[in-house]
Amino acid sequence: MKHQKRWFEIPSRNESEVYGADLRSARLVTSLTGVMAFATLSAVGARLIIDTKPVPFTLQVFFVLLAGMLLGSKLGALSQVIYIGAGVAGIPVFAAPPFAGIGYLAGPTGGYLIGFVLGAFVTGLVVEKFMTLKNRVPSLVMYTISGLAGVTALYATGMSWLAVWITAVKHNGFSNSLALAWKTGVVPFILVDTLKAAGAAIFASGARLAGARFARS
Amino acid sequence: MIDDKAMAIGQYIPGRSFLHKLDPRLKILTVIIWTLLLFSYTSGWELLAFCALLLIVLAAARVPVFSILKSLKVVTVIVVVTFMMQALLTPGKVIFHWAFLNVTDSGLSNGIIYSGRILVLVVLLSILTATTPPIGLADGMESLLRPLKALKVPVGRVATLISIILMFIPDILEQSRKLIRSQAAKGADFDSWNLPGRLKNITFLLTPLFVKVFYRADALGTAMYSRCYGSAEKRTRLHPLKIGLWETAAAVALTALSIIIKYVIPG
Repeated sequence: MKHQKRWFEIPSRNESEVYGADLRSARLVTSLTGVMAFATLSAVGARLIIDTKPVPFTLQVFFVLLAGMLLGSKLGALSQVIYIGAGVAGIPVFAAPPFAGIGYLAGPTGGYLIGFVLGAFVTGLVVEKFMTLKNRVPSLVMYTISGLAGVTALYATGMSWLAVWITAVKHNGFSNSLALAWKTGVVPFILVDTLKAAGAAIFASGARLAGARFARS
Repeated sequence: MIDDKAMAIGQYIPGRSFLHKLDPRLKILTVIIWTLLLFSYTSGWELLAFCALLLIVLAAARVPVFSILKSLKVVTVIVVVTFMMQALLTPGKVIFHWAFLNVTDSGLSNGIIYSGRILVLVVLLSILTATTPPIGLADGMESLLRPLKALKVPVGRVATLISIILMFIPDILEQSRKLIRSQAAKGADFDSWNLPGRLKNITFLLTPLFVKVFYRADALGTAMYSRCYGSAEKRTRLHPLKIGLWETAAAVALTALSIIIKYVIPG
């Protein structure tokens, strides 16, 4: 199969051998399982707090970026939409109490959830652009650049909503709130999330290589 | 690690009450409207009146009250912190003074409103999830999001995946917790201070997690394919949603009452 249409690049087994004739359904199911796997991983990333010493470490942003890198723009964004949907439906998958529900989206950190969708989308979009421009499998550097673009989109969305929220609650001007949102909602995470983008890039290129090797065997 | 206490919030309690039979779309819409209204209430009296309304709903739900109140335990810390912050940091007339702490009148009322909002919101959401099975919520959301189809969002697929993933996530969470324990037992040190070492340890966690999740997803994909998912354009339902007259009347009446509170009770 050609490299163009199918972004989900960790083939399970030799597709045509297992699935037989109905390739349309097979492809749909393959991409949907990829989406589902990443939605699950995002949920696990939010709720799985690895208790490291200075600050607790979560893997959520890591999985968001990875979803964009491996699934591509549309499917990556879809995986995050499904993650949010699961949270809204009442499964406790969000990072902070009350962990679930529609109210969380309206809360101060709700913007980051929308940011996850955008972040995955932008990451995937940059990867796809690189792939069509250079016409080859993306390198580590390309993945890192796309990851950083995704992080930027994520925090831009999260910060804007946080600023709106602060304006509504504290009734000080929007520019003041924006500064406050920048200070509390973005600055503490810059270093860690840059590292996570690099980590996701390493993981993504590793997964591509493993997938390619698996497909050849 | 993962705390089990939070799992109490989203638990469905089977039953046959009016609220259980109510159409999930109506329930979701009412909860959304109420959430918005809740943030527009600015006095404790309005909040109290809303609590009375909530008690009627709770009575109609016929679920054990204790199980609903249990969900409040999760947010205790946040509520207390919110209350203290508002009570101590809002300027106004000082009514209580101790050492360097000043409790002001406006701070006290702000504290009651802000912390009360969180409590009421959690009770509201746990009533919704206690009386609606996850599948019902997913179906309801699909139906409500149907207008997005115009933007080429695959709403049906999203709903299907959400209802699958509702069963998938708790299982994987449980497994990953076991994974952390077993890797720690094998000597992976998640507490070490040096950054490269810690990153390496996280890889020990990530790789088996990935293998597990994709193995599961793959098995599920095969199952979906062998049941011909995606071969037909239109899928039908086993239990189609329908809204009755009485249900609509009840939902509209409750919403109207909550809006009346806003304008009748003095602010």
